[in-house]
Amino acid sequence: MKPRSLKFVGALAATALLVTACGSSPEKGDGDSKIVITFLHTSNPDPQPWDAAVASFEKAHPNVTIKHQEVTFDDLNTQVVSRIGSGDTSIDVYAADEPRIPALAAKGLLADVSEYTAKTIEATGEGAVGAVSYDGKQYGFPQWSSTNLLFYNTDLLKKAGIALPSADPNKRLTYEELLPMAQKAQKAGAKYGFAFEQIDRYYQLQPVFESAGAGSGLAGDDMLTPTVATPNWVSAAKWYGDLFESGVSPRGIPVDQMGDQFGQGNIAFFVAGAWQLSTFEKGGVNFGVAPFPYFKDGKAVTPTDSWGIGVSPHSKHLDMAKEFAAYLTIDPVGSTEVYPIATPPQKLALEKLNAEFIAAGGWKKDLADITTFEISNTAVSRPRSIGYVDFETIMNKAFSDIRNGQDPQKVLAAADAELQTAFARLK
Amino acid sequence: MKLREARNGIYRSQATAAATMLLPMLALLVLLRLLPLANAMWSSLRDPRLGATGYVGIDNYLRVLSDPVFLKTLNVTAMFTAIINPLQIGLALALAVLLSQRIPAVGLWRTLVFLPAVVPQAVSAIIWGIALRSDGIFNALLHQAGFSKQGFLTSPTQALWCIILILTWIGVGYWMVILIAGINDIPPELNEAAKVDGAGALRRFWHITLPQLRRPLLFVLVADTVANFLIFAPVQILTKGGPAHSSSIIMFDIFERSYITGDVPGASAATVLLVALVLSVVAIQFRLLPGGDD
Repeated sequence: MKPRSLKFVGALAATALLVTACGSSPEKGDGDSKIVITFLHTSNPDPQPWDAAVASFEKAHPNVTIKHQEVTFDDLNTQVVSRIGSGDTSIDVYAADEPRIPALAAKGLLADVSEYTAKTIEATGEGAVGAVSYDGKQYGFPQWSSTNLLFYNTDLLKKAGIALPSADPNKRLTYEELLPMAQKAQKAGAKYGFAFEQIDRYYQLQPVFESAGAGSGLAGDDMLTPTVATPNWVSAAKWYGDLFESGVSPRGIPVDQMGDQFGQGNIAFFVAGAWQLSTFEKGGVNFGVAPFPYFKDGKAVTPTDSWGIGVSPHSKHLDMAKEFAAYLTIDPVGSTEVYPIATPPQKLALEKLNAEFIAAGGWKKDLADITTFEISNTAVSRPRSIGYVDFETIMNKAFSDIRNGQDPQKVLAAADAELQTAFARLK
Repeated sequence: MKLREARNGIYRSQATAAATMLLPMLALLVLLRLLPLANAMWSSLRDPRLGATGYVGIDNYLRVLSDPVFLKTLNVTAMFTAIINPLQIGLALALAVLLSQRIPAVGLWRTLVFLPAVVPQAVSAIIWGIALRSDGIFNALLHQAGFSKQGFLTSPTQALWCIILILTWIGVGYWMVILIAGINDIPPELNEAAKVDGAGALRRFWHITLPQLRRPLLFVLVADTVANFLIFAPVQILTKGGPAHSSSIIMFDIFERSYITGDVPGASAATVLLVALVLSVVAIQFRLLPGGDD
């Protein structure tokens, strides 16, 4: 081979190597005799929910240290799939979004914790265990349940001469009542009239489609048949897109920055979860709370379920990892020490939280009352399917496209086709 | 005879020394580059269903190549590459020529142009993302100037251009520095002789600077092309491939298949296709622009 040809081939090989240089390099676990349990979860606003429970667990187990690893919501799934999927032993315990548990379990990314089922039912109830189970086995511990509420900026509403909405679930606002109020607030000076916190996440938008009679978007025994291009889905999606087209809701603000928008007093009415309370308080906004709105001709529906705590099947300290996860979630002491950033499904922790909020009065009492009502009466879980991860990924992008002004009919037809392609791989 | 043996001995010891010094790097190449490639090729032939690992031949390649989303991704990647590479290299060359002249505070200008290259891509993406929001500084300036608000990252016709703009802002200074080094290597007597012969600035650029820059230009062309095929962070942070897949370039698609939906065999097939694509493009570039050895 001539030198130039050699150089040519060498350069091509170097290029190929450059392109493929994105492999994984598994990390090693601790080599000390002391046990370190690594807990991977999303970042949370202060106060950290697990600090007190972790401290008491460590006190009871002097040879155990809990190490936190915090990532963003979007990165959590990536970390779990890439690290645990490659057999990495450096994660022992992790926060798992409950509707993802079937897919995570099917991929072998969660350890079976069925030996704790009786205790979990006793602490939380059968519904909560169902949310962390797949194929008849328990694959996680229920940490939070959740609901969403309609927060309103009392100053902006008073300025616009709008009566404050009732906290009574029986006097829940319809969207048909809410939007004129939002527009009135906007005319009186609010930057935006009404917005969802999770502008392109299925979790919070599912109730809009369910209330409009469009269903969850998945059908069939295995929930692997998409139904997101039906006329009801299209009309509800058009309603959603119009919120942004008309300027009632802000276009182009990333989902992670929406809570700050309400906290800074820019939005009159805001659908959000209780985990935003610290952001609102930090922003200094005066607010009240009302139940999640619904369509006049539809039913009231609210989102539910939340994070579970799962254990990595590759943990070097599997038993201790399970014990720690159980302590945070179903232990009578540990679960009540966890600071509630969402609604606890643990009976004891819920009682403690409700007592505290009801005694505080004002919006805290309203929040506790509404949450108790919604979880028992209007909560609808996300579809449980091994295709949920693909479904959520594709639908979240569709919601993003719709709010950015794309034609809802075309977007949903494309999403339906994408879902069929994605599910074909799973069947 | 003895002399030849002595020479052979020297060659042998030199070869041993060279091999010993190269060994760690070769081992790293195998471990970090060749093994992942082999792993991707192996994985691209496996069953993509959850929990299954059987051999399925080229099914994953056929599946990926018949997926309208992947075809759209290839389309977007082709357009992205066709625009960003000439744009970045052209701008880097223009800046290199300009900032290798004797102009006041040239070091400062070079530093300012180079500065974005040392800021992590993710940080740049977040800053640009805020500036390009509907209530960001660019829309405020447009509004002040009497123009209507633009969608930027939320518009399917503008999102890819915004990504190109951001990446060009980040990358152009880096390539400029390499080209400035190349310009400084050109013997000054060539330009002086051409000046004496009455050649103007444009003729000197065309007949002296450009031919003498062939080697650094080839390096910049190949390295920039490969780098742009591997762009990921700004797309993940700013658009997630949207709106309507308009900014879905191939690395983002591979990431999403592999780490979001867990379709590792599909992602591996797409990776092997990407390697083949990049090799083809780089091969064409080598053929069209020889390095100047001959």
